[in-house]
Amino acid sequence: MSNRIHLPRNLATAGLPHYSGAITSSRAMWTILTLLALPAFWGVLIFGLPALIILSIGLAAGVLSEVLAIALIFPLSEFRTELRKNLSDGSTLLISALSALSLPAYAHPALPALVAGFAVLVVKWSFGGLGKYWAHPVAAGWLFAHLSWPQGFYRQPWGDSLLGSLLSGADAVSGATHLTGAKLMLLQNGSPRVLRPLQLIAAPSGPVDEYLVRLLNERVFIPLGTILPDGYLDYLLGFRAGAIGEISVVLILLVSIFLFARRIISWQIPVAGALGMGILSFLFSGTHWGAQAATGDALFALMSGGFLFALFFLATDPVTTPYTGRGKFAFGLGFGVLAFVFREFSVLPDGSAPALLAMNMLTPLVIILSRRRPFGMPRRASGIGGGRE
Amino acid sequence: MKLRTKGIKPYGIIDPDFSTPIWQASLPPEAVVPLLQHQGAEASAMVRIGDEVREGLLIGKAAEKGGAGVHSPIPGVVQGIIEISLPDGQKCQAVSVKLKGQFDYLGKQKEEGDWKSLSPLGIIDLVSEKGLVHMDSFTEPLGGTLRELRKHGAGSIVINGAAGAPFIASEVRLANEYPEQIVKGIQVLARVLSTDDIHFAYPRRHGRLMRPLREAAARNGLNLRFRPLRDSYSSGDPYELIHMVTGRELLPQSGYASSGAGVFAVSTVFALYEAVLLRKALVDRLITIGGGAMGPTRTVRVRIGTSIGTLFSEIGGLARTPAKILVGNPLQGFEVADADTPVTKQIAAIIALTRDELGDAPEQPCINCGICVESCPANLEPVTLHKLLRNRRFEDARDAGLEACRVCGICSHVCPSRIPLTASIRDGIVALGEGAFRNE
Repeated sequence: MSNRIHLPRNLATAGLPHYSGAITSSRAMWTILTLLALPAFWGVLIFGLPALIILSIGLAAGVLSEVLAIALIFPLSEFRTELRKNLSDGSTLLISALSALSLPAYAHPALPALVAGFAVLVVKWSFGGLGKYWAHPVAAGWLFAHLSWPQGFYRQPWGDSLLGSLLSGADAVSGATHLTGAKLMLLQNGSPRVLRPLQLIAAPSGPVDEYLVRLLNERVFIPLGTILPDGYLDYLLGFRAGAIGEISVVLILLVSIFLFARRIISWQIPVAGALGMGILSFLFSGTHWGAQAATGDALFALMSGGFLFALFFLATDPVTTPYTGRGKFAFGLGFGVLAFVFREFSVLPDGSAPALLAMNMLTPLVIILSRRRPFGMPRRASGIGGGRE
Repeated sequence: MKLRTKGIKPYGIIDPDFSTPIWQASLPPEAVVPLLQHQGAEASAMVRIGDEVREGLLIGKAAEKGGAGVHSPIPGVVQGIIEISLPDGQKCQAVSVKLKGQFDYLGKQKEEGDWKSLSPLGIIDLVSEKGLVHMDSFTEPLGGTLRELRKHGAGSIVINGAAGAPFIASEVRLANEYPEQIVKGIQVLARVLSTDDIHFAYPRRHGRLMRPLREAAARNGLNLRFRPLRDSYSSGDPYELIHMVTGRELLPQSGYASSGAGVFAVSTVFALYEAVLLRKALVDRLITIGGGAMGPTRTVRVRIGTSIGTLFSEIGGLARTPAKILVGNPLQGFEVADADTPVTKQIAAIIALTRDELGDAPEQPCINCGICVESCPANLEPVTLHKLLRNRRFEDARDAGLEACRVCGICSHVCPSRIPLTASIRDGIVALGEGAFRNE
């Protein structure tokens, strides 16, 4: 009919897009940052001044690394605009905050600087800044610090806390978590043939847990013909040792619900990750120590260590995860499975960081395998995975 | 497990109204009628300066077979034949008519004429003569489409009640308020294309408003298959409707005439009824006007050629200062710079947006969030296409599915980093059409 370009609907000159509906990515990052104040505040309440110091050092080190990176990469004339642009998008502050929150409060004060510095300077900027890196900066920084300086994580106490007396056991003072304790005990004693890790550790539960469990058992669970064991409520509410941000399961879930509602994080990764970890833990945790299959404690596995923290705040990072819906699900599942494997079979007490890094490496492959066939095309799109340049 | 949401539920800048009566805009003091109102060649002017014209008089003759004529929307005197630019950037001649004399055309109730004695080809000629075009997103003249579909043998007809949904109210309103007329228009279509496999697609949430049409179809013995669609944008996309009916997936560049299904918007069917049964030329249409700067959303019947500025002053001016005025659906339409821009046969909506509604923000690096991938109705990866095209890797972009893009605008709309994905992919498709790929 005509030689004109056959565009659908004659759109050759439309000035698209006319309006945008989505929350901007910097707004999304600032929202996560703001909400992270909740678990951070709880950490400071539980661990006291040291937690605050760790947090401040982490944030300061991250921002300083950002300034340094921009000064090294960009010419002096662009320094100010680039700095303003990169600081205002909130990504550096988010990385620094997550770095500090993933550390125990009694860690060496140089540790947050090491983690955040490595995350920002090496992982984020050596690949070209926001949106370009392939590994999660915080997971990489954490693993780097943990492998090169494990003692930094288990320092003697150098401060005291506000609510510290509510903490269970002496572990809190040494900074070692129940997970570490369980692992050490299993290594030393071999086959324990117990069902519950919390029994194995035999750590006394805190006063809050004791009170609430007794109340709930008397009023609710015993009339229903069951019983709530000690210890779980401490984990749920956050009266336990561990990294600053990871201890309160309730707060992590609360923050995530808000992030889900605003569609800032995807549902696929957390759901699939919890499924992978939970099912595998139920089936196999403890089998290699002699316990029966399908007797594992999935609840303890999910709530202990930094698994939920990593699942909701690190594994959902869009930059390093697949962008296809099915790919996100596969990524989450793989993360849960690998976290279980690393937790059970590696020397690390908690396998979240290496599991995340391993899945980050698989991201392009997952994208290629989870692509859809474009409408009207005979086969799936070929070409690069990950849409990277 | 369904892990993917196809299309989007856009954040509502216009909430189409279905309750207030259709506003009849009064005759404009002056109408500027473009001679190019569909894809193809411009019509040639049939009048000279100073000629008196009546409503519905042919003032532009279709330049080619299968084109559409242009008619005077108002009685008056031809003031001039001027060059104007249309919202989509094309320049064309336009006939400017100044209102004068009596109007006898739309005021009177017309008798329905006999159409059953007309042959299908006679009906198609009548459609071309009365200036009918597709009144939704297609840009072809209706006569040409019908001719093509007849030649290839259309097995099914889809009446699209979801064109422009959820932004545009006119399709649903016409089906709800003029059921008898729509049913008769469908009967004409069925006769022309000699098929009785007729589907009526509508947004699921307006199912209640479709009851009059169901009853009218039953009264007239028309077997209409009602097909509810998902409520998200772009469920009324012709390519998805063709897929729904025939199972065939068409690329936007391939002609749809051979697909075995004809897709017609409800407003097109209504114009067909008027042209064939009432012998009325296409001189007016229903338009949704809305947006934050406009005040309440309204559905207006307006003459072709009325300038947007006149329409605004008729409804009492704008409520707030607009930052952008659009014609068409807000994700795909065209920005209007000039208030003298006339309403054409294909403008289904006029939208005035305030600064807040634009959601402008500086562009940021892509964070691979995948919202564009999840929402793309053509299963594409807009972000991958954008990155490939930016690096001028045209062949790779074609392998990644560039040709399947329908330029629906969703990817840009949902992008949290405000990357102009749609514009970049659109430019890639233009480059494809210009043969840039072979030269690379």
